[in-house]
Amino acid sequence: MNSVAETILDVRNLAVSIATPDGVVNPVKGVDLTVRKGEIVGVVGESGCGKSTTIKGVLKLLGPNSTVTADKIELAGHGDISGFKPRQMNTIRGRAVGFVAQNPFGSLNPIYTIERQFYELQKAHRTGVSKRESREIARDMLNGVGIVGPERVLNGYAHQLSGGMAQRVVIALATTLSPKLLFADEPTTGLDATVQAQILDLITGLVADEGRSMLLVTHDLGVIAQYCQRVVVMYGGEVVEQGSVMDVMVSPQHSYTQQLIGSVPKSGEKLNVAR
Amino acid sequence: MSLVEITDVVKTFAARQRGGDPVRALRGVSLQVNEGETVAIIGESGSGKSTLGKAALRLIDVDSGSIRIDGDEITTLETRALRAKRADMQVVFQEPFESLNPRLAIGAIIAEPLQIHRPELGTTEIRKQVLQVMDKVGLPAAQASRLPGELSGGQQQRVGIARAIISRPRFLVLDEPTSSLDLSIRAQVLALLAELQEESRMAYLFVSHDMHTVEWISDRIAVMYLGEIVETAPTRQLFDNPGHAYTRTLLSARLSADPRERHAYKAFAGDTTVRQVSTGDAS
Amino acid sequence: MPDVFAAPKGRQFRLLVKEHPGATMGVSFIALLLLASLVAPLPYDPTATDGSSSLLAPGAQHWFGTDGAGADVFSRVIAAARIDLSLALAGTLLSLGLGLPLGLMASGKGKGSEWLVRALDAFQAFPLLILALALVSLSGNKLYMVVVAIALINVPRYIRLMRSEILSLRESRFIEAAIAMGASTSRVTFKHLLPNVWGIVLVQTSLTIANAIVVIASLSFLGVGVSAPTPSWGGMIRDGAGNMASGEWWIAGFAGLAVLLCVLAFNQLADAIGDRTARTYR
Repeated sequence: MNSVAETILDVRNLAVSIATPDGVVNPVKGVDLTVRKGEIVGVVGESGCGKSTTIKGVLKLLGPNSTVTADKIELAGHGDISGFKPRQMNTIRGRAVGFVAQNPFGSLNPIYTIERQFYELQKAHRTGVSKRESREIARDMLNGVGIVGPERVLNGYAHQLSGGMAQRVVIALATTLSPKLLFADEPTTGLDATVQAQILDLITGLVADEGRSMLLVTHDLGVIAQYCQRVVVMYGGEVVEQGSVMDVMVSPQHSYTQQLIGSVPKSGEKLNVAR
Repeated sequence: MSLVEITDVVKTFAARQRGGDPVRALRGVSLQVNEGETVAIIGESGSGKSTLGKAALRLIDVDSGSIRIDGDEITTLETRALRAKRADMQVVFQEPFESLNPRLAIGAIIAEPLQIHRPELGTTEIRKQVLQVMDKVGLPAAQASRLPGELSGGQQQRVGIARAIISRPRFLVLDEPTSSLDLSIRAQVLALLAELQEESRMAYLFVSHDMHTVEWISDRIAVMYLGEIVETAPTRQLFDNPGHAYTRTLLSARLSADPRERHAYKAFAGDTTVRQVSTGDAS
Repeated sequence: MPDVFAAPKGRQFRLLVKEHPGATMGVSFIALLLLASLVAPLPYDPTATDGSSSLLAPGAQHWFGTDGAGADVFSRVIAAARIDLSLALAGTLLSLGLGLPLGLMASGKGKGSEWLVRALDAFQAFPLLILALALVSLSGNKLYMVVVAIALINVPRYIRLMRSEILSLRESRFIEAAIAMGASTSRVTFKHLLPNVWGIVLVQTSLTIANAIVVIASLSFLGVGVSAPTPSWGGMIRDGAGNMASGEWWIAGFAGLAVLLCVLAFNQLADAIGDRTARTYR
């Protein structure tokens, strides 16, 4: 169909092990992932399948009791980041890869104004940025995510925002440093359906307009079907199937994928119930 | 007359903050649920759908209006009679773990409604019925002595359902019973609920925000928006031919798991041609 | 009616030993100390004085040395556990006995509970240790007054704890479920609310014992409560404090160490109980 676009992220054999009081667990066991330019790749699976741990592992966002190994994690423009030290990762996160987490209120600092958070972010990555300049940029970014009257939001705090608004602010923050790649971990879970549609339209618009790419983790097959080009289906820490959304969602090959898609209630049809 | 008759119910909550406006959660809501029927209430957060579910069981008191269940006006029942009536009307909550006492064994949790309403049955008979109900909802008997924390989310919700049906209620409020469950578990629980209803002809009031779920399980749907029911219609009719602009907005925000069906979301602007379905290539 | 089904119990204690060596050591220490003070033969009579052997340094004859009156410090430290620990336990029991029902009353919905909390605020505004001191000395150093004093300080803590726990539990889903199922108020309280409060009450009880040990020592140090010649840790610290300056550290030192270890032991136990109750049920 279309020519192979430039590869933005190439993960080979990613594994995560976590030491718990009850022994070592391996939530991710050898995952391969590729994200190409301009593409939205969905990672789908049920709780405990390792989908969130996978993207946190790539960004080294897991706690000190975890070990991440990979044959390689190739990020366009940065080479293999699998061996990067925390200090080096700090230059990647935010600038090369933006991250949107599930709970926007967990991502926003409750005691800083929104304006301050834009300033802190820019100060961390660019020397000599002035508060005035930062505010200009923040205003533009908030306009860009569809916030009308950004001044009020900038002067306010996270708790004054609704869930949808807060997630817009997080998206604005995540894209402020113009990363080429966005990671989104269940960005709309817990939001109302209409707000979810607005947020997803916004994120996918940001990706399409600026030639970005996105890795979108979700448990919602509707989000995959409606917003992603390719899908990675995970089960038990492994990738069981991946391919174009059309192929995988319409004619799934792996029995787990078939069962998962069959569990979506369709009116007038019997539920595909695995016992 | 319907089994459940909710007529013109009003509920206003005091303002959260001093000086704030009171929250008008229910502004004159009327709804009927028949024996063996599932009526879904859909709406977004703040629409009042959960408040209606609780009011229907008098877990909260309403300001005015009437709620009759099997002919009994429950809004005015005095404490003792209301407690006895609760054997006939039960609830399954959204949070499977939080709705179970973490210190009681599964068997003891399921037995409780019988201990309250049918103490004359005696320990042996109650035990027997608990094991029967556990079998019916697909819980192995060995789990009777487990604690809720030792079960998976799906199993915890089966416990919640077992507890709700053991007193053989005629009316069940299901408050987002599958929202916190994984997709495959959700399907199992929905199938179980449908099966139980077929057997016992219970009336279900199914509170949900998930269009896929309500489309599958309900006979009729009531759409709530800002404390009012804006539309009530048989499920098929509501999906094929939504009458109210807000219903159309909700439907357009529904994300089909089939990539060949593209739904274009449109904000609630009152336009009549909101839903666009096109088939075509996804890439 | 007895429970139709019961959850297995018993492995709690084994897990406690395995996962909390600190608490296990603490409990063993307290048990040993109590046992020694009650039944074991002491090397010397703890109240016998001997002017000829006063202020001897720790050695083979007197393991912990002797005090100014020539009494054996080791025997006195062990013997003091008898009175100090008993008073602490009695004070804690009284605090529990008063604190639990009052705490339950304070967590009701009515106006009464609000008044109770107001009264508590006013009461706790007093410096309670000084109030305790006054009470005990005015009573003419009656030992039961020491027990009352401990309760005075700790009952408000139980009330506050119960109130905050129960108020937040009342909001939980399983309480709503119990009401929806038709449970009576007393059933909700005794079957659903209280069993979920015991864990935190046990933690508080362990902390209360530790606190009581310190209160008793403080009172004895100030010369009220347990009076000479009955050995008490606080009294020994007071007696030995004067000798510290001249280098005889062992009198106050070993008594202080006993208080320290007891408090540490009960704090460890509180930690372990808190940890266990939090984890078993989640």
